[in-house]
Amino acid sequence: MGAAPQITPAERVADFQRVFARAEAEVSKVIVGHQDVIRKTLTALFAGGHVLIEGVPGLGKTLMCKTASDALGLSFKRIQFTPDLMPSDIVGTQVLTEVDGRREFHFKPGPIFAHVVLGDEINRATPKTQSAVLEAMEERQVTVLGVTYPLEPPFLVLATQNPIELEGTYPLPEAQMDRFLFKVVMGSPKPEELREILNRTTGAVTHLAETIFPASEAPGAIEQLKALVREVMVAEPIERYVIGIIGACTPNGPGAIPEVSQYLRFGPSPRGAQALILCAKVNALLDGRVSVSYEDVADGVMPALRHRLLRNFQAEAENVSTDSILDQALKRLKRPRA
Amino acid sequence: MVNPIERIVAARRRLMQVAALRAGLILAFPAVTALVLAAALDLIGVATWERLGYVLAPAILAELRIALTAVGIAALAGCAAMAWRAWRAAGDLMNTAERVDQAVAGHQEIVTLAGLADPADSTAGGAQRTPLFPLLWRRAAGYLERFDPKRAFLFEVRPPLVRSLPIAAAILVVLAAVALALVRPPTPEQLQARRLRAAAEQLASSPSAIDKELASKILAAAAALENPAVPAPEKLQRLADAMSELERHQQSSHANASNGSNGAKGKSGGKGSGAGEAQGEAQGRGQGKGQGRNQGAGANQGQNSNGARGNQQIVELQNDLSKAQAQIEAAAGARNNAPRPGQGDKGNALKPGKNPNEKGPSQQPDSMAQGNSPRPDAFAKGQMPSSNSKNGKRDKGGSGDTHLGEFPVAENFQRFYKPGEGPAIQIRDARYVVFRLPTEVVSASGGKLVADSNRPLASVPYANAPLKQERLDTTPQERQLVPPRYRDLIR
Repeated sequence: MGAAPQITPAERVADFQRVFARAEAEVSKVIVGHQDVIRKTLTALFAGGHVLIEGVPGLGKTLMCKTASDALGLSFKRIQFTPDLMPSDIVGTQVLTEVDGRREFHFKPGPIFAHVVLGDEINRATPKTQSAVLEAMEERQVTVLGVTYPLEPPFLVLATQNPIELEGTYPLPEAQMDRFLFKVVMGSPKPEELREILNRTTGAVTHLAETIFPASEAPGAIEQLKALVREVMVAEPIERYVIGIIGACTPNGPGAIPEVSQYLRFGPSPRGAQALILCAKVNALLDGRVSVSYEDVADGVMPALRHRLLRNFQAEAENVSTDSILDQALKRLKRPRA
Repeated sequence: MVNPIERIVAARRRLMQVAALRAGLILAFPAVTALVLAAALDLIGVATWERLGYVLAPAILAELRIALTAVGIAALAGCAAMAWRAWRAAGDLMNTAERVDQAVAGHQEIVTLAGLADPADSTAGGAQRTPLFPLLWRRAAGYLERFDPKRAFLFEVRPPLVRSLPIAAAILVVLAAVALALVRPPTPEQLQARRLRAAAEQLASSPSAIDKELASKILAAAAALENPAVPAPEKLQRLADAMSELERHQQSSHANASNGSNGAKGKSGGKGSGAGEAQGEAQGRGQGKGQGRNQGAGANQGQNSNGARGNQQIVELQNDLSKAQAQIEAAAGARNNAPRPGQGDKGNALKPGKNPNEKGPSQQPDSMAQGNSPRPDAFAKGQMPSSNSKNGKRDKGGSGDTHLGEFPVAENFQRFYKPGEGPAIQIRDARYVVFRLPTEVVSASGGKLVADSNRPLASVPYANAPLKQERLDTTPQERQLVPPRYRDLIR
């Protein structure tokens, strides 16, 4: 019985690039445009984080999530958040069942028990229901009546919210926003993209994504790729650069730019720095490198930090977006030793 | 495969050298400038202020030279210190890795490798190394395969020199300003000393040892003449020495000249060349043993002309020395006649007074005070305030008061438009109008009156222009100043 062939680091990196590129291509078969949203969603999956997708209805948010999970061979569940949705509707509940004449409570898992969970219009549910997702997102487990049930990895929550219909919604609290690795904004398609969407969706031919991994192997394969992401090395100047970004975006913090102190109430938490590093590691692997560069970090600043900045009243009154503040911070921040 | 860490260390050495040279060069140029200026200060003086007729006192010149030398040495020391500091600062491996990374566009892979494999710290980054580290090593080695630190980090001379130019220029400007501030027109003694020195230099160029000795004496006399620290008797003594030496020299030269001419006459054609040489040296000492027979006459002519020139030079020197002696004696005499410190009342020379209203010294004949200056009459004496004047000094009066205290400042004096300025002038703006009536034409034969079109017209359109618009509301700022002695009365 021969030993399993040893895979070299170069082969592992090449394998990651291949899987990622293939997943992007498969999703792009169904979703027209939104390359950045697709890339960031897959990046969050391999970095082990969750994604909040913001966009008006009809842009294909739900379809993209489902296609991504299908392409990777992962299980997919969708939860439509409504004001009357209860926590038990998400995490599951104990049901009384009769087995061999005996009545017993059995745990009936909710839709949270899937690899990819899509929380559609998450801001329409009550805070109580929203908080039910908190433990699942952070601890990757749920507790029902004192019993803890782990969620099978990989576990990815993709939540969507509509930025325009805010009446009757419950904006996500900061604590819950902070649990999302990325917040990506889905814009309207360009005319060429819209034409392509019409061709694909109104014709006789249906475009479907092919599965990269068999369903049985997908969780293991993706977990290996996630482990590879964690092995990417980060130099000390890069870490100081990330810390500098966080400091520059913290009001009255060290190195805070004037716009930050003027328009923000709170800056990003340490989770923001973690998100930056993880995103940079995935970016480095996608470029074939095993160490992070400044460009890798800068690429993840917007999606990783935009939902972690809490604007003050003046910023909302003057319609100053967090993206513009981050842009200013990035421009003014000097790279260490550069 | 190259060892990337070795390449980074080599690059560090190169960067340290470049940094040290670059930092050192910033002050090297000013240092050289200061030292060159110190060495060439005399030549600079000859080319600049002495050409313009000014002199810089030798003591100041020496101090200036010392200052420039000190600046140059300090700049050299600063140059070394900056080079050492730059050398030390450039020795950081991570900094070097960053520079190398930029040079090879390594996307911080070189930096990461240097951080994880610092040879100075064997434990550095060991815990952070992952199974991917060998791949990082290979990739870094690939980047550094064709990396040459000497070509990547060139030593550019221009930037540090450009940075050092303002400092060198500042030294030049400071020197020029100091020289401008300290140069003075030469005193008669300095002028005389300069002339003596010039004559001595001419003498010193002669190959004769006697001439050289004379030149050195004259130079010493010139130096003594210029030096204010040397007392006048000593200066005179030195000048007298130089004069006596000159006379001795002149006598001997006369004797030699007569011998030489006799010899030349007696042996003309045979030994004239030798005499010519002697004259060329100094005033025809004619050792008289020439060689060329046919060159005698020509050489004798040359001898005579040279001798005449030498005599003239001697006479000029004598004149100069005599002038110098006369100047010193005159100066000494003036110094003796001048009131000495502490004997101000006994001397005759005028002294600047503190109170311009005070009378001069009693022994000084004050014709103005006697004849023309106004005196306070009896009424004025009675009404004069007995208190002290404004400055707290008692104003004795009596010698007249011509001091107004301060000069009036002309302000707001252009109250009227000049011709051609301002708005169009209407007749109503005029304060008075001059009419010129035509002269009556008287004709014996009757005739008629006609307008005189050839009458002279005013070349200036108006003689009394209106006030400027901005001056209309302002009152004139001129005020009549009152002599101080009347001010208290007015108050």
